[in-house]
Amino acid sequence: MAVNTASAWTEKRAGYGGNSLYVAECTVLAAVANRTCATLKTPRGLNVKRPWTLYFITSADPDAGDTVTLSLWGGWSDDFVMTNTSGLTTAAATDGGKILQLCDNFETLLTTLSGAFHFTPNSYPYGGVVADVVAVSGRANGFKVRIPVMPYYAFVAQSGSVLDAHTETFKIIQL
Amino acid sequence: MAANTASAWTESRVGYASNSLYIASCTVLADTGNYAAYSLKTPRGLNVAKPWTLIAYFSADPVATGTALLNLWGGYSDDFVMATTPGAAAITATSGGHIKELCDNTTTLLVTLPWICQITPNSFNSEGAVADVVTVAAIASGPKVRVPLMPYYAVGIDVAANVLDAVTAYYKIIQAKD
Repeated sequence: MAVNTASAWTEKRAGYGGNSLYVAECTVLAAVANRTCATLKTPRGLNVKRPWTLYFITSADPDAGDTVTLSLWGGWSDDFVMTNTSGLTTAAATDGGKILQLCDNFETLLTTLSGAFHFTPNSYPYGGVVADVVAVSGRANGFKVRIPVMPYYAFVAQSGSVLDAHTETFKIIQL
Repeated sequence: MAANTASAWTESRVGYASNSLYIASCTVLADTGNYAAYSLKTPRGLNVAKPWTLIAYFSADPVATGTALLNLWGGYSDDFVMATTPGAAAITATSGGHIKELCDNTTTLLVTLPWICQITPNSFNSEGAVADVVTVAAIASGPKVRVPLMPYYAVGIDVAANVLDAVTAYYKIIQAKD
């Protein structure tokens, strides 16, 4: 096993001229035999007070022998960082904690069918009473969650056993 | 036993400049043998009319031999304050009362995995009928509650059958104020 490699977020805009959207992207290379891997904290360009989209895909089933969950963590200080050390068994963070589980089974399906999540901060005064959808079996309904507003977020995969080597790609899209 | 020590709330902003958020922090040192330990009333910077995030975590299991609850109290006048009499089994407040339970068991789990709870005032008219999540067993669903609008709140832990161990509780409030 080795340390996971989480890239810095790259930020750009995509879309037709006046209607283009903010896009940030990062990749996480999970080293064989770690149980968890995580992104860096979300980048400067994300306005955490407004809704955003998370698109995520994996290069392979993160763990062919067990179930892997994808979770959202949040940070409450500028020092927020997920621990990505070698051999880590349980996700851990500096100045942050787990907010909720985003996907109950980060599986082979998500190598070809990406996940696209609506994120709506709890402070956003529109978009109301729709229940969270976080189960792969319900993905046809559209993944969605309301989340507590936090200064920073990170995305964390956690296996019941150990991860296989794979690459996760995350994209944030926002108006 | 002695009185608990609740710090004043400190207020600041955290996050990337233009998108930074309001954050208030306080600590409550529970003294051994008390039945409850509460924060001071929420600070001036909290806009109680808008949703906010409460983060709670602890230096250790607040009561190793029983169950400690995380509760929300509300105050209806400016002199709202939680009673701090050492050893008092009944939890009381001046000009306030118990609103609801925020977490059914502040276990050892919350030493490493903070309780991050969405709090939405009932007057906030855009989010409705999603059910409260207040059980540790459902932490992966994301803790959340709707609360009655009150001018002030206090958060804290209390036990029914045992007394608290010496523990430090850390509370943070985060809010988008604009």
